[in-house]
Parts: sequence; C-alpha cells; structure tokens
Amino acid sequence: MVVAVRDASAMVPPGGYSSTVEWDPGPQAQSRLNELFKRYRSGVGDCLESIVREYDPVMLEARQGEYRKMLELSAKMNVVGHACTEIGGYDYDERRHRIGSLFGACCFLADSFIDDFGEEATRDYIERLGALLTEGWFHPRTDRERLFFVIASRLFAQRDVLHPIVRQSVLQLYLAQKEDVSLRAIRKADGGRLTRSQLNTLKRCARNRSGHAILVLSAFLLPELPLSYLARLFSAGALVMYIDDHGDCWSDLKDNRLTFMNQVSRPERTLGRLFHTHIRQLASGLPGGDGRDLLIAFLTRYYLTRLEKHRQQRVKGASAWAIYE
Amino acid sequence: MSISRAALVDTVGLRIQELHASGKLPGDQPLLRIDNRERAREAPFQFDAAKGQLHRTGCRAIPPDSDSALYGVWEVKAEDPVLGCSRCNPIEAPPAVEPEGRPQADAKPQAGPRPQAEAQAEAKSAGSRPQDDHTVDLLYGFLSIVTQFGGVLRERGQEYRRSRAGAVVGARFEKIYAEVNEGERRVLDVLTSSLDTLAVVLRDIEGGINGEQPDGAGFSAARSRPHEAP
Repeated sequence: MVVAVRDASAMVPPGGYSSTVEWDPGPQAQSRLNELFKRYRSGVGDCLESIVREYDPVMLEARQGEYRKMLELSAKMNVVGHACTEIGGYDYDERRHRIGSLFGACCFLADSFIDDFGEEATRDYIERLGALLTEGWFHPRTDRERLFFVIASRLFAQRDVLHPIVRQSVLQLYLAQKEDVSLRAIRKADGGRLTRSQLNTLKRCARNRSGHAILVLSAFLLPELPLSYLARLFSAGALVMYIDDHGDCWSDLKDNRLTFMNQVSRPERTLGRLFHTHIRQLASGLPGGDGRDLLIAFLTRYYLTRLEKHRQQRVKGASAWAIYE
Repeated sequence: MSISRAALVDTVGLRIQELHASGKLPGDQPLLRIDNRERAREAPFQFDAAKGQLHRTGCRAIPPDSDSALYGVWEVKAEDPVLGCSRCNPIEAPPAVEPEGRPQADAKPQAGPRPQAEAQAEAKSAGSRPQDDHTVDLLYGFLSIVTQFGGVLRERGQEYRRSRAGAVVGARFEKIYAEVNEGERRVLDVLTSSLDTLAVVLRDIEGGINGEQPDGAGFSAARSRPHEAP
C-alpha cells in the first residue's frame, strides 16, 4: 500500500498545534523532495542489484517484496543523506549516492537479522556484529550474511573508518541496537502499564537507535562533522524513530514488541509535540539553506505519512512488509 | 574473464574471513577494531549529542540519560560554535590536545571540573608526545599485518610473481628503474635498503616474540603449517 502526499495542503499538520509558518520550508522544498525521491528510487537499484544478484540471488528471484523494501529504505537514506550533505556545505555527488545506497541496504539487512529470524538468530547476530566491530571477524555463513558483509565492506571502503566520529557513531549505533534487543524482554506488570522509568528507557533507546544512525550516515558522507551540527542531526534522527515507531505501532504490538510510541497513553498527541519541538530546534539551530529545508520537508512528509499509516493499520491490520512512501 | 575491482575486493574480504573461520590464520589478533570505547572515554572532552552540550570528561553535570549519547572529543575547533557546560566550562580549555588514535598513557577521567591552568598543563603534556610515536604505531600495525597474513601473502606473492601479470609488473619495475636519474636511483636504493633492514628487524622481533632464534629463517616459513606452502 502506498500513501502519497502530493498537495501543499497536506503540509498543515493535523490537530491544533502551533503555526507552521516559522519553519515550513514551503512548496518548493516539497517539490524538490518529490524530485529527489523519484531520482533515488530509480537510482539505488543501479548500485545494489548487481551485488544482490551476485551474493544473494534468491532475494531478487523469490523475495521481490523484500528487495523492493530494501530499495525504498536506501532511497530514503539517500534523501536524508542528501540533506545532511548540503547542510554540511557539500554536493551530494555520485560517490555519496553510492554511500547512501550501501548504508540503506546495510541497515535493512541488519534490521532483518534482528527482527525476522527469531530470538536465537537475533542474539547470534548481536554477538557476531560485536565481534565484527571489535575484531573485524564476522565469518558469514549464509548468502544473506555474505551479502551483508560485502555491503558493509564496500561501505567501509568509502571512508576512513578509523576517523573518531565514524567509529564512535558506528559503535554507538551497535550499542543502541543491542539495548533495543535487550529491552524486548520488558513486560508490563500484570495487565498494568509500564513504569515511568521503563517508558523513559524505551524513549531513550528509540532516540539512540536512529539518532546514532543518522550520525553514522553523516559521518560517512562528510569529511568532518562539526559538533554544532552533530546535536541537531542526532535530534532529527531521534524524531525519525519516534515517527517510525508510531507508524509501526500495530505491527510491533502484534509481534509483542514494546516501544515508547506504542506504550505512551496518547501517542498521536505525544508525537505531535515531539515533532514540533524537534522541527523548531532544527529550523533555528541549522544554517539556513536547501539542506535544512530538504530535511524539514522530509521529516514533515514522513510524519504525515506515518500518521496515516498508523490510522490505516489500526483499521486494516498490520503488515510488516507494506511499503509506504 | 575480466573481474571488477570491487568484486575482487569482495572476494579477498570473504576469503580472509573464511581462512580465519577455518583456523588457517595464525594468532588471535583482530583484523580491524572499530570499537574505540576506551579511548573515547579518555578523551579530554565529551559531547552530549542529545543535549548539544560539551563537557570536560568526568563532569558531574552530564545527565545520566545522556551516557549513551556521548562522543569523545579531542579537539574543539574555534570555528565550531558549540554550547559548553557552565559547570565545567570546557570552552576555556586550550583547543588542541592528543588526537584520537594516539593513546595518552596517563589519561584519566576527572572527578569534576578543574581549574583552567590544570587543564592547560595536561593539554601541554599530552601535546608534547613525540611525533615519532605515530610512526612507531604504524610500524607495529605493519608488523601485526605481516605476522597475521605473512604465510598467505608469501604464497600469493609467489603465485603472482609466476603469473603473466606478475611478469609484466616486474618488467615495468625494471623499466622504471632504468629510466630514473642518478639522484632518484640513490633515493630508491636507500628506500629499498631501508625496507630490507626493516624486514630483517621485523623478522628478529617476530622470532623473539615466538621464542625462536633470529637466524634469518623468516617468520613466514616458521609459521608454515603442513597444508601450506613452505
């Protein structure tokens, strides 16, 4: 199922929140966002198809839906990467397009190892990814693991991976994933709600998962990541995860997975507050320009489509494999 | 049959993993360590990515909620406007200290904010580390790779030397050498001689580490296993 937002009126957030005038990048940024999504949706396959065909051809032949979802995530990473690169004052060239595509595929496969093959496979992956990051050894055993290893290697080859910010962000992302997995054991006390402390832990984990992920992407794309941008981009990443978790609320609950957004008492209202707070910070904290406008336009689009996804899945039922724009 | 550079690198990377998995690589050294948590914790500053605030390492004003969002910072650039913690006042500190990747032996987390003079003294001490250490680190890195992959490299080198591509490369080397002028040739000779000396030293060190006699037998041969080429 595809949810598309095409007219400018959709930019107005639902509910009675503050005016968007102060940060709304306007129709020009929305139009640019559409163009970039179109470009990267058709472009990511050029980078990824040959690698998938070589190392995990079954994904192309028998799991087309999964492959399409990987391309969609890679296109999304390219758009976010494009914005972050422009915020840093650089052009999003062909090499950066390749980095965005590889990073998207890497995230997709890593998430699938965590989510799709049961608890034992999740633990095994977390342990082996830890070994990869501390020793460099991964020992791929299946075609899917070989594909992951090759994509990660090609991504690492694009950058000095021993740059302090690159290696710290990669490690922080790994630790956030690890914590996310460990939190899956959280259960509510007999029919009750989570404690405030548990809820805060879930919120912090969501913040870290995507906050560090956007820093990994930016650190791969930019030669240096100024501290003044780092915090803003971390905040943008955190917002992506709150939005994402709200969109996946019903499928996560179906999988018995607790997130901050599916445990908070009034999720839509909470997300609205988070969205406006984060966007205002980005608008005032990032240097004005096309990059900032693109990032805000992307986040706004993402927010609106995930609100819609949440509503639709509540009515129609959750499907983990649906692709939403 | 032609093979792209990327595919070749993929194959080499996967093969190295296979060799390690099958126990054919000697030792238990890491191939690549991305994890730099220990050094990051010892950096002079910590940047709280969640709050957008810079602290001196060990500052008690860092909120517990931010522990998982801290980035070790070795240098605060003047052109990077960043919000400093009002308690530990990190912006007052001198900008350049020990860069990450060159460990500072006496780096310890602070218990709290310290006077600026103390921070300056530490930074001065850190900055006074001889530049040569960086070169020594590189040599150790080189040694560790040669140690780990020595047998494999030697075997591949012999095969490559015998191949048509190897012969072409060899002919090119000779042609380049013939064409360089006297001064350049002296530099090349010194370089080659230095590498040769370095190789002997590395073999001696390697022999010493493994309790072997530095008799010039070479660590590659010493490390050969029955199923590997001598």
